[in-house]
Amino acid sequence: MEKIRRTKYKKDQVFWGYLFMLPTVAGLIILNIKPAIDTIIMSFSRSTGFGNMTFAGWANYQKLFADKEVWQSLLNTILYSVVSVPLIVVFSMLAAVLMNQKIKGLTLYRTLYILPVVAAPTAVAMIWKWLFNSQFGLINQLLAKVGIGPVNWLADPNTAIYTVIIVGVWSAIGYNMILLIAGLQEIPADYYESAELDGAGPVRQFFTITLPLVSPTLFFVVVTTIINAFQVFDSIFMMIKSSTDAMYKTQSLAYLFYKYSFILNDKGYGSAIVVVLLVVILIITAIQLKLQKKWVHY
Amino acid sequence: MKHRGLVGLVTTLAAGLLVGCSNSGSGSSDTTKDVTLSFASWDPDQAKGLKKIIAKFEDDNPHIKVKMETTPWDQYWTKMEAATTGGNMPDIVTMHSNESYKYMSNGMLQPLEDMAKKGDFDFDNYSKDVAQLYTYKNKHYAIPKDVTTIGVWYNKTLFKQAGVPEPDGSWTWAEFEATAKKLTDPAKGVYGFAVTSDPETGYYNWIYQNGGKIFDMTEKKSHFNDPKTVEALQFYADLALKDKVSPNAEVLQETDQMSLLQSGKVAMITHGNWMASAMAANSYTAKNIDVAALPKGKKQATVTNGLAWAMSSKTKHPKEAEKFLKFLASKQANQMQSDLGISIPAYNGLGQGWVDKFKGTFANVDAFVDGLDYGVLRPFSANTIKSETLANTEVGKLISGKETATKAADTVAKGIDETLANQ
Repeated sequence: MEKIRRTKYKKDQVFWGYLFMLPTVAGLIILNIKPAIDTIIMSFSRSTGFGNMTFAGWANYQKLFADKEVWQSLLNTILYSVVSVPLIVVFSMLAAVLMNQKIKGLTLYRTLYILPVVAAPTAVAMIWKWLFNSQFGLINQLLAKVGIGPVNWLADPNTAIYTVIIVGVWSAIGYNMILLIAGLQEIPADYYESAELDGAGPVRQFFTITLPLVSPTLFFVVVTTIINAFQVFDSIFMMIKSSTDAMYKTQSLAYLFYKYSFILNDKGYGSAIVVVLLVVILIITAIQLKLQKKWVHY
Repeated sequence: MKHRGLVGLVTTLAAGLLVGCSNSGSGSSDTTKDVTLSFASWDPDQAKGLKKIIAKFEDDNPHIKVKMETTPWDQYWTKMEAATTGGNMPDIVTMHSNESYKYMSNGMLQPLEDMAKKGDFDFDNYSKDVAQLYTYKNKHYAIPKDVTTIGVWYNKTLFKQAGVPEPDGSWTWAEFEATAKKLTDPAKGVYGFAVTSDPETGYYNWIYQNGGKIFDMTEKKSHFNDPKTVEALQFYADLALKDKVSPNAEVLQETDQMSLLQSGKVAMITHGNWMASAMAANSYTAKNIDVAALPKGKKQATVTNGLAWAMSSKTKHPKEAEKFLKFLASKQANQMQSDLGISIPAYNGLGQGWVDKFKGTFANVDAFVDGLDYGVLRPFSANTIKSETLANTEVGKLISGKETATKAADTVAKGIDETLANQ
């Protein structure tokens, strides 16, 4: 096999092949791989600003494992993911199935669902921040009408993370819905027709036809949603005031990385935090790749 | 998805080529050629006035153009650090004492002793305190730009409605407390004062008024758990917790004190003189707001701070940058800063122009310039931001009633000592 392939490709074809790959490969190396390696190196250093560093050994990691704030942030990140990911997946699936029907005004509905994806995340977070304001916000005004007393959406340390989750779920549904619709449309209509002849109701059809056949797409959605959830940053940054109790109970590892690297100018420690985040995401993704055999049907 | 990397790269390459082209035209520092200097600042309220100063300089030096870029404070330092690390620091930058140490100690700023020796400016002309903030190992690295003080901004209309006489600036802590109580009307949702976890405009002032200490560059030790500091923090927090003259801490996290003052929900706030332009530009505040000196504790005190103008040590146009810096340092430019109401210049004795500019709108605006006489310099260390972030977090817990003053102060003191020991 190997020999045949070698002779099949002529040398100049190989050259052109590599040349066409070059832009992407160079982009990956310059923009992704090198910075990642630099970050790992930086996590073993103490930075004095402007890229100047001195080697610090394991000092950052020793400090990190004793730092209550890091553990709290890891806990926040896990809480955020555990609550938001199932909600995102279920709602996206639900929306995708509904949007896959032949109903009136389908384009309008699809547009409405995709809008949060198109809007800039910071602008979205700003508007939610106004809506959630405990004194002047629309949401509390409406709640007051039905007799629910003012909720401190953004400043109550025990509530703030759920506020961020609401916004996170709302903004993620549209994108995942599009992916799932694409997956749903791959399923041949004959399956449903024969299922109907055999007397399967819509619920049975969903669980025995739709779900197994859309599972490769669903798997992709689950993996990327979890990764995105673990990297949550912008909505926290925009909506919660820094250096407060609410922030302490809301901040994700990604935010903590930002705080140390860019507010407190401690790039070494910030890098160590982000390396921990990377390891956590790697482990979770590895587990998912193992588990996929159990439920994904290719 | 696959194409994104390629498109991104091509765009980057194209942009790189364009930047490369535009740079090659201005690479020389020949004075007869046209040169464009970059100038970084953050305050949009000052930008209008600064443009006039730049225009004057450009008139006098037709071959030099100054391109000012105003970046909001929240992004200014992140951007500045990235640009500096990448070798693209603007030629002239506005400096703040929170960050100056890092830039000075890493050799990113041009020492100014040679220019001073040449007679381009004399550091004796400027506020000694501010000049000291930008000194590292006995060398000056920046020209003091302005001085700032803190005062009480109050809503005259709310005072009238509550039948409380307006403050004349000679008040004590007890009188301030009593005034705030009279102004508070929970039924209407109006509060006398706003207790915040802001350092410079908030709790630092009360600490200094009580004779307390914060931290000190020279000692490598914090004084945050000094009994006088703790006492001041307790009084400050009690305004919110016991007297309940302030909206609670959670409200202030969502809506800043300035918005509450502007919407008539809070009658008094403590804030800097740099708010004058913004207050005068807003028709509600221009009509309803005035200023008073901060109340006296054991002594009269306000936090003073000052910005400065510095020059990149790696500028491509050192001659032109020096020329512009010399102009910014001149009495003429400082007089313009004052007269245009940009800020109270750090150049000694030029504050009157600033007062005259705002006197018509805020009758007692002199209070800010008077404050210079009893001002205490904002604490400054090798890592001010780390110390201050910790202090803000703990004071935040204190004013929301989740921590005692003693415990909060101890935590801060311990944290600051660790930070300073590691420098």
